[in-house]
Amino acid sequence: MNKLPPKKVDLQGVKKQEGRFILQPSQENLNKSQIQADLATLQSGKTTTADLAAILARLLHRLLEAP
Amino acid sequence: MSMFVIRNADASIAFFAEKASDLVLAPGQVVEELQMSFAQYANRLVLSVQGLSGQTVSFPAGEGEVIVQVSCPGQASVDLQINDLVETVTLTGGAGELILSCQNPGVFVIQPANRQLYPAAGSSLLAVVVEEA
Repeated sequence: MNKLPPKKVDLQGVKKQEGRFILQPSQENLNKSQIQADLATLQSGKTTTADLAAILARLLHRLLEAP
Repeated sequence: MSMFVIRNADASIAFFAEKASDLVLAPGQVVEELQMSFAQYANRLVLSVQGLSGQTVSFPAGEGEVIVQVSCPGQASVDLQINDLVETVTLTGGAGELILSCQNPGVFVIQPANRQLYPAAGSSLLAVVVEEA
């Protein structure tokens, strides 16, 4: 039987707040939230040139970082 | 009655075993024989959720909390590593608890901070997965 190579998992940071331990949102989830916010901005019909520039910059940044 | 502890070159505990005859050691590892039972050694530090230990437990993300029971008989406190954070858990009668929030999805890995004293294996290692709803 072939053994699968171990999958490396980067653990999220943890913070303690009011006696409870909370995971910091992962970069993946942060990106997802940002994409949803950008979509909402674009669909609002009130997108300014500055909004578009910021959204385009984030998009290009993600493309550059993509494997 | 005896059991065996296998230590890495840095003296951290790699794993422990009932028998030494079948052990395959990595370079630098050494074997220590202790006069106690395997169960006694394994029960020195037990991390559990709802009675489950030594395995991965999953909960849905949301408002809920997960209570991790910490058992470390004979000790007043124990240092645990929760992902990148080290927390000293105060124990009463050798027992204490940690409260994990299910607010954000991801994985909590809880293990002993002092790896020369306790192994990050078996019942002393617990993974709690908070799954995206």
